[in-house]
Amino acid sequence: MEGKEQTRVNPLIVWLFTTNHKNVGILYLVTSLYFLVVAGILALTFRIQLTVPENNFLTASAYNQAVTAHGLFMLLWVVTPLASAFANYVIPIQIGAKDMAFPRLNALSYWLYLASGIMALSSFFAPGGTADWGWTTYAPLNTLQYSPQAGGSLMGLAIIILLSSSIVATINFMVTIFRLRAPGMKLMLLPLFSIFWLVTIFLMLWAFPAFLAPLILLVADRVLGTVFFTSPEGGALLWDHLLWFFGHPEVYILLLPGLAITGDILAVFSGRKLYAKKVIVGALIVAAILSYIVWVHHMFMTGIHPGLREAFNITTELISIPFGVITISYILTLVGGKIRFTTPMLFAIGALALFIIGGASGVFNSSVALNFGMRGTFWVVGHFHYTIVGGGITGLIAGLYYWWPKMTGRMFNEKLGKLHFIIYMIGFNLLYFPMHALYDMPRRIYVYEAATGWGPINMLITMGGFLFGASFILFFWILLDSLRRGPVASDDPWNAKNYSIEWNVPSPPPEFNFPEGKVPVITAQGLEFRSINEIVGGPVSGISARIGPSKAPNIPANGGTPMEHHGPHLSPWPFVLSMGVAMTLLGLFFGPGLLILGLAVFIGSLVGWGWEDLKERFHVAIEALGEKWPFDKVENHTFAMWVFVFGEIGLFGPLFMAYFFVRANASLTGFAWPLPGQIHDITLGALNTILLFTSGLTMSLALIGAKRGEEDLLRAGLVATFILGAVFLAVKGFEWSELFAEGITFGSDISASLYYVLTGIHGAHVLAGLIALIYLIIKAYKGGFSPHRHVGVEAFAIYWGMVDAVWMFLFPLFYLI
Amino acid sequence: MDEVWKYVMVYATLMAALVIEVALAVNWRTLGPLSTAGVLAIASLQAVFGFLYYMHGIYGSRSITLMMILSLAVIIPLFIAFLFSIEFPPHITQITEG
Repeated sequence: MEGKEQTRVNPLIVWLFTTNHKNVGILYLVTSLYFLVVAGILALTFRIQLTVPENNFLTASAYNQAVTAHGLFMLLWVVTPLASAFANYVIPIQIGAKDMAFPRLNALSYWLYLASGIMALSSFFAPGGTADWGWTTYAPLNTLQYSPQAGGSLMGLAIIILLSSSIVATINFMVTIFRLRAPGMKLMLLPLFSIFWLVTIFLMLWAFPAFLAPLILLVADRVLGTVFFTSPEGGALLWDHLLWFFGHPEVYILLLPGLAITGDILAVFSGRKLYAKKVIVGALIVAAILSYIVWVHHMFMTGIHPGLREAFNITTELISIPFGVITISYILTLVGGKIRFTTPMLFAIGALALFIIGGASGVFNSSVALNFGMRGTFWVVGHFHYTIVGGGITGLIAGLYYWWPKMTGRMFNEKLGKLHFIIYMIGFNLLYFPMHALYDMPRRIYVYEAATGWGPINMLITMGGFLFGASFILFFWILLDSLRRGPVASDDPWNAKNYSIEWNVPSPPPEFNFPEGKVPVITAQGLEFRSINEIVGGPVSGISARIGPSKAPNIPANGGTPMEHHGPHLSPWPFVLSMGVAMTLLGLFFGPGLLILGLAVFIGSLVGWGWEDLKERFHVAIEALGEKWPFDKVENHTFAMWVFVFGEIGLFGPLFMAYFFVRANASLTGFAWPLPGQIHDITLGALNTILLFTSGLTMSLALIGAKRGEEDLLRAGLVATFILGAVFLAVKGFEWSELFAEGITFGSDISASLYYVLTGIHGAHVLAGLIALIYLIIKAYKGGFSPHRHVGVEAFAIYWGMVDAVWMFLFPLFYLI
Repeated sequence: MDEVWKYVMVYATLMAALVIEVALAVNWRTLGPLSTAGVLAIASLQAVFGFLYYMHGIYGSRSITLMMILSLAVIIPLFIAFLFSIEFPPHITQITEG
């Protein structure tokens, strides 16, 4: 909070309305640590239950809820958001940018994350409690028949909002890292954390929407009564594939940030360059690709084709190779180094050691034969906790100690930090290592008999759990103590100045990260801070050939903002919009009053956000200079829209695959799929296709009008697109009402379920497009577009084209074949 | 060719493809799987047209096209896995017998 403008504002308002990447990072940090405490307490409750045989501390239902919520909170509300905290705080600085590409979207990501967390916590208070089906949410346990409580549906909606938040963040980071790098900052020059985070967001780009797909189907089953997971055509296998298609990339989404921080810290505190950095990055990319073709190893026992099992056995064993390469490179980084055993370094070494144990136990699981024996036992629990908590969270804790002085300007107590490390490691290993000895104990039971002999080991595990929990109390004490009376941190307390940019700016950094009027430049001699004029004025020696006067015009940023102008870093709308979403969805469960209020807030926030844009009250300092490979030919907003479209393929792709799977199964179960024209009117479907095709033409004409400065063509094109889209929705509404009148509802059969949900999701996209069109039309009539300022129209044309493209498949799938 | 006319031509092509698509499904249904394959092939071609012109992919960078291909490629393993899951459907027998 160093900006002059912000110091005059009430601190509460600043924190609620901030769009500064560092503040957003701190908000992520505090919130994810809060959820860590919640998830930890839940874990301790079910550990108490398992401590002794035939215990009755928890009921079966309470145990199941605690286990489910613990898993979901840790995976979705703790690990990745904690990594996001660091990503938000340090990545813009590491790449040499003043902020994220879209600061308001960044704030929106955080507030949607918090809103989803509030919804998830609220699910405990819904009648019957929260979800109790295990974090994997396996069908048919996730259906109303086995989990009728409303809290389960609320948890499902909470995850949908969380994933939406992550998708927004993914787009923002993708544009930021690719397009806002400082002059001379090639991708390979970035620290490992930024590189690994870039790969992580590539995984998030397709994995999170892919999880959105089954969740939408699940919520539809539970709320609308569709039959995706209760009919024989879909059922358990449909859920399994869709879940694990997301689930295995998710493992690396959880792991990679911590693993990256570990590598950075090992290099910094051993005083050595990373050993074979290019090989590490190559191995990382190979692992990321392989992560999309290993998921079936979670499904070896589902009765799938044996050939499929063999294939995924091989890919799973293959993926251990790149991680072996990364691990060996890390170890070789230490060889010959002058190692400083600071607290961050100890945690980094610990993370590496724990990850090696977790990785080694994982290789056993890839074997189909061993997998049959170990699946669903505590061996697997031990394995994945060594990987995710040992390799991932321990690395993130190392990161918190590492960047704490930079974030707060305060040092922490090193002695206590080392004590924390000792207790943490003892607690961790006491908690998770004995689980490998319970290779015959099923992981999803809440009570066991004394005759099993599992009691003593469980006692040991619980003791480890409490010790591990105690280490976090000490951790929080160290952080609070540092804030209260920690010594002032220098700019570079770890002597990491030559490793990454953040150690070359004050602790904490100024509002726009770098000295006023200067930008970082990477030259052959290293990092320099230069004025814009120095760079724009003429060729600068040592900087990438791509950077020169012709590539560095003093362009208006975001429609008229000079490059060095920084508007207020506050906007209320991300906060208000997210609260509107949360209230609306909570209102579905807790009363219509909340629902109506939520809708009003949501609509109001959209109007407010649009108004803020039209009045240009929020400015973004776009970096016109710098490295943008390989996306140097697209503008930020256009690129963001493309990234969104790529993510949409991750959503619609699995939905179309679900259609394919269900339809193919129908021929085996004897389900008579409706013939073309039997239920859905081909004429109406064709009419809607014509409407969308025509709207694609009018939208293209609008863009041509914008590019040529022909305002009449622009306005006419936009208005025509709006009318055609609205008529499309009206026709679709008519079709739905006719079907309902004929008694064909959401749950009539699997074909009806598919039709309503897929066309419903598409219809929601059309509706969202119409809302955006209202904004564009108003802006067009206010003269807000010109031949040089029309990125909004261009980005929307891409979106509308995607809506058209999706319908090009929906029409034949439901009307013609 | 004027840009406006180019888009009108694209529109006309899409409409022509729609007519053929509907004709295949309605009038040539007797072709069976060939009709289905034809309809899906036309839909795919329409989508390629949609990407190139309505989404203006033809004017975009090669990197965008590559990302688009990558995005589609990610889905392929899911298709293959589903395909091999249909062939051995014990879950179906379990559910139907249960």
